[in-house]
Amino acid sequence: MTTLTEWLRDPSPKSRVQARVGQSYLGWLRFRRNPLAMAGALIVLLLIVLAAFAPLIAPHDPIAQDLSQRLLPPGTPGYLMGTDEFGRDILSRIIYGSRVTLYIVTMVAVTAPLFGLLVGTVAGYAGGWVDQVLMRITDIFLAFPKLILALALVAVLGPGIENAVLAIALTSWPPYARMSRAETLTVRNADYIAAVRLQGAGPVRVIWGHVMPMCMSSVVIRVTLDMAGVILTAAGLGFLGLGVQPPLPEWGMMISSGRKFLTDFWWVATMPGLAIFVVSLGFNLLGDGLRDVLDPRSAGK
Amino acid sequence: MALIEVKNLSVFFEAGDRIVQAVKDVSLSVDEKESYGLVGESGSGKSTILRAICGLAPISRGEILIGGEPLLTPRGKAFTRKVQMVFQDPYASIHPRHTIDRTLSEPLAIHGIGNTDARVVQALRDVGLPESFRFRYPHQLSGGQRQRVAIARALMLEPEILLLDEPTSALDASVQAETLNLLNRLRAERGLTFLMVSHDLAVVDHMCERVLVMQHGRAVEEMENGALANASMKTDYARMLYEASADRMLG
Repeated sequence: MTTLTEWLRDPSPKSRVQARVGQSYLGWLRFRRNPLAMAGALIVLLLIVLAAFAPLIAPHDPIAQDLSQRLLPPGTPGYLMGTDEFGRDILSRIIYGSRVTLYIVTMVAVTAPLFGLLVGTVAGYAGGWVDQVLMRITDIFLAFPKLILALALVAVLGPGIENAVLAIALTSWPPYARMSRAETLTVRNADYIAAVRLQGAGPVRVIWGHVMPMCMSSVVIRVTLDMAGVILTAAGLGFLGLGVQPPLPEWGMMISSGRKFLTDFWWVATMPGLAIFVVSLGFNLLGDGLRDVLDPRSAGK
Repeated sequence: MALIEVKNLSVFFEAGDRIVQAVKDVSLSVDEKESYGLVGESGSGKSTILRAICGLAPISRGEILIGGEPLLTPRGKAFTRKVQMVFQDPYASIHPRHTIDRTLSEPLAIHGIGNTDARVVQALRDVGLPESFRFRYPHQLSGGQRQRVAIARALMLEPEILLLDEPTSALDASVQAETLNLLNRLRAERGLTFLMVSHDLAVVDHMCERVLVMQHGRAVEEMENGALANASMKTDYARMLYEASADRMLG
């Protein structure tokens, strides 16, 4: 154990990998000091574990209906969170629903920021008419209300989980483009960029290898903070019946179906609502913690 | 034959509706393996001449010849293997998220030069840095060590010409002398040609065989190193600069 820590803290690393891992380790030490961020990380980790091992953890089949057991209150033996109007176990549906949520979150987190980063860095580095064209397109996307544009897209493409991801990704990339353009403008005239250009580097190498790493930390922070919004948008689409289709369990859709008997059987809508609340909170706390670790302005202190 | 020839160079910048003349009608020529200094106050246009050679500032009028050939725009890869630059501020000229190894191997990767490991290690040794620094990040190095890395990086492509933009002004006095001696040693070993900018006559006196004094974007006076030693400058401005740094030169 001590030898591993020594290897990680070695001030003169012996290889590229050791240097990078050592830097991450120092970041982790800084991250660990923030209890709220740790709580957020724990929630997100729990979500991942739930999604990965859903069949092992869930006590019941999330789709199996049993009308003799319908609308049982929370705490009924065998049904910790009660059952819904078809007698399906709500806890199992929430556990399986985490898979859908995680899938949407991951797909959006992989596509939208990458696209936004590409548009922003190219616009910022190239300048001139390229910048004008790319940023005006970004402005047009920003001018649409997010949920309305997602609704329109899903209405055209048809409901479904892939189309929901596509709709959310298409509406959430413009802020990343703006942010990375702003970051690019601050670094493009730096001496270290001039130096690598003087060594004969082309624009692709400069943008990919030298400009993007400088934008990465703010993008990662922003992505984590945006994840709560993505979950809410996905739930909103599900609530309106335009996201995941039944009988697949999805939290937004579960709230929507519980809405009909909210006054008499409050738990049907409340339990998935709590799940959305906890996971969104987890991502927000994680994002705040990451900002403390990754923010270039606080780094190196 | 002169390796670097600057003929009637003028550099203009547009700032809003105003035109700023940073360099006005300056000519100079640097011979092969010579060390040539540009001296003047801040804003005298001396750094702009270096930047114009590299393509970081426009050549508004006049021309620049390297090895008798006019420069291309953009400069191209052949130029970068011939001319390299060391920047003033070592805290700003090295990528903060790259290891020293990455910084030094990048020029090799760009030009498709192999044998990276051996070359990087050799480059560190040449500038007097221990091999254990190879995988450190710049924030783990001091200013003087960073400037050594910047010098090593400029030499990775084995250029003939090194443009030095106040390479020691961001360093404190003892480190300054070490860095200047390192540069002198490398020049002797590799037969480099230096074009060096400084606001400090003492530094230029230590480094250069000929000096051009500049003021407000114009060339004031060119002197041999000997003229500095016996204080035989012709213009008042050059004498004033000399007197400002004379005490350090004698010591």
